[in-house]
Amino acid sequence: MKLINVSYLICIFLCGSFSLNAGVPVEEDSLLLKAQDLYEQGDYFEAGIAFERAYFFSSETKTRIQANIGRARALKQTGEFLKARNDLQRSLHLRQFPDLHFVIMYELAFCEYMAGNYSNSAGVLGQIKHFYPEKYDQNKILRLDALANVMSENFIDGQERTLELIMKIDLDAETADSLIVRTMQLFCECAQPWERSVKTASRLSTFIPGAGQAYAGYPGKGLLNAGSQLVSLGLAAYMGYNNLFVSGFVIGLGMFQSFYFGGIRQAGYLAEQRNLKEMGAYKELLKDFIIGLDD
Amino acid sequence: MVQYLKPKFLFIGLVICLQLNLYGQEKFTQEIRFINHMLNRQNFDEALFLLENFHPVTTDQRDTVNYLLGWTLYGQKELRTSAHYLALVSEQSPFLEKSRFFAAYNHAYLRDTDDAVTFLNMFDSSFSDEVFYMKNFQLAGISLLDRRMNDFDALAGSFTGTLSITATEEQRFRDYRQRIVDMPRRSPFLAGLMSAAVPGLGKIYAGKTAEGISGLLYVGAMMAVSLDFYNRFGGKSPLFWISSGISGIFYVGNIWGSVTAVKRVQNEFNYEIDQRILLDMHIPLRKLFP
Repeated sequence: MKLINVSYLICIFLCGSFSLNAGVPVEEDSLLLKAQDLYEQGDYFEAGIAFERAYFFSSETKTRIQANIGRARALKQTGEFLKARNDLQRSLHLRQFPDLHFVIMYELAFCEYMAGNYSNSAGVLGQIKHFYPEKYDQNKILRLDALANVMSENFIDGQERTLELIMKIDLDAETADSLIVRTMQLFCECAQPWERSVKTASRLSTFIPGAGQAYAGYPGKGLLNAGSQLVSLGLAAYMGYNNLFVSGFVIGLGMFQSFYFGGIRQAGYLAEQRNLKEMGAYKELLKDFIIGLDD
Repeated sequence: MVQYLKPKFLFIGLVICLQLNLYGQEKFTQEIRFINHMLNRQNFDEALFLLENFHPVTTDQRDTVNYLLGWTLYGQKELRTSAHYLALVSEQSPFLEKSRFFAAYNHAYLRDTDDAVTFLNMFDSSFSDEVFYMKNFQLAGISLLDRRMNDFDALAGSFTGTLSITATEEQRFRDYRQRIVDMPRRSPFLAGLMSAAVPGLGKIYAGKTAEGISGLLYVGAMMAVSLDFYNRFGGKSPLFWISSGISGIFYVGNIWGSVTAVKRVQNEFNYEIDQRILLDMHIPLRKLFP
């Protein structure tokens, strides 16, 4: 009797011990559900950790991909796009679940865009077009592709995607026509800011003081610089005329060389700044237009 | 009957306790695996959040959590807090040696060298030869940081150059010692005096040759202008007085600049050599505890 009892207890012990490990797959689903709960409650930081926990402890590929997508979405909410991008890349090679693979690629493209890697974003969207041509034709993807191309200054593709997007949106013929005309106007080469050459600006200021600044779009600064050079040269000449040769050399010519060489550097810098400013404003204009194309 | 049942219940109770303990251990191991995974993926903030919200039960678990907290904070350059957690690792822990060495290093980096020495001195001859040798090496590094050359010489006497993880750094320590000793001790007063005699000369003496030449040109040019005004308009001219005033400011500024240049050069040297010493203290530690 005693022997039987002991045998039973040993069996219970062994069953209990093994059930610790056997219980893990059950926990996998609960981990994912818990993470989703946290996400829905708006606790994105803890949701990100919970999704990662589900990813780490899961042995199922599908669960891992789902957890990875969940984590990326949680990280997106906290503004950690680069981290989300890095995490998403772990599942990029898993193509046995096309629906999930497509979501991974879209999220990756979105995170790349939000992290400022516009060319990478356009590259991933190009892969979506290649692998999932039937799914590529969605408004959100076309919009993201148009934006990525605009931000990476690939205006031809940007225009093409924008036109595709307008065709996809359910609009009456009149509105669609006006949007197409507006797109053509906005993307027209004549609407794009012309790029000022930094070298030309510097060279102009080398030979004609103030001309480089005027070329860069700052004629006032050009006048000020040319005037300063003229005054300092005048001072040097005036001092020399009054037999103050040393003072004329030190004060007059000293000031002149500062204004002269400073003016050359300033012209190049201003040209560069003007290019950035105008291109930034142009891209913002296109971005607002593309985002404003409502579904 | 009662007598027969008692041991049976005791046994069942024991089995249940054992099961619970096993379950607790399994959960702990899983959590630590997960935290290590987060650390490997450079998710330091999340790993810290997990560790800070972890409630260890046994001493082993507490040691593991304190070690991981210290190590994570070390990765985030929070050296003082890192040293605090690393110091909490108990003597029974397998992380003891690494924790103490890195706690000492953190203190050395923060220039709390007394605390660093205290941590290192807990390693006695009962530890392995390698650990004992490393203690000696770290102490030598700290004496160099403190510029205690006699202590360094005494500790460097036991450098053998045979332990591969410290061989190169031992030689470098000796080089640093030589550089510290050879570093000329320049006088700020003398630098000021030299610049008073010839503007810029004090800076050249301090080791800032380019600054010295530039100072000479500035002060010389301003003085030449003053002289020019004096020759042309005489000693009562406001132009002469204005230019003389500006020359005076340049002249005095140059003297003061020479005085501070000596201290600046000394500080730059000390900073550079300290950074090198700390780096060479760190490399063997990472080799011993990868």
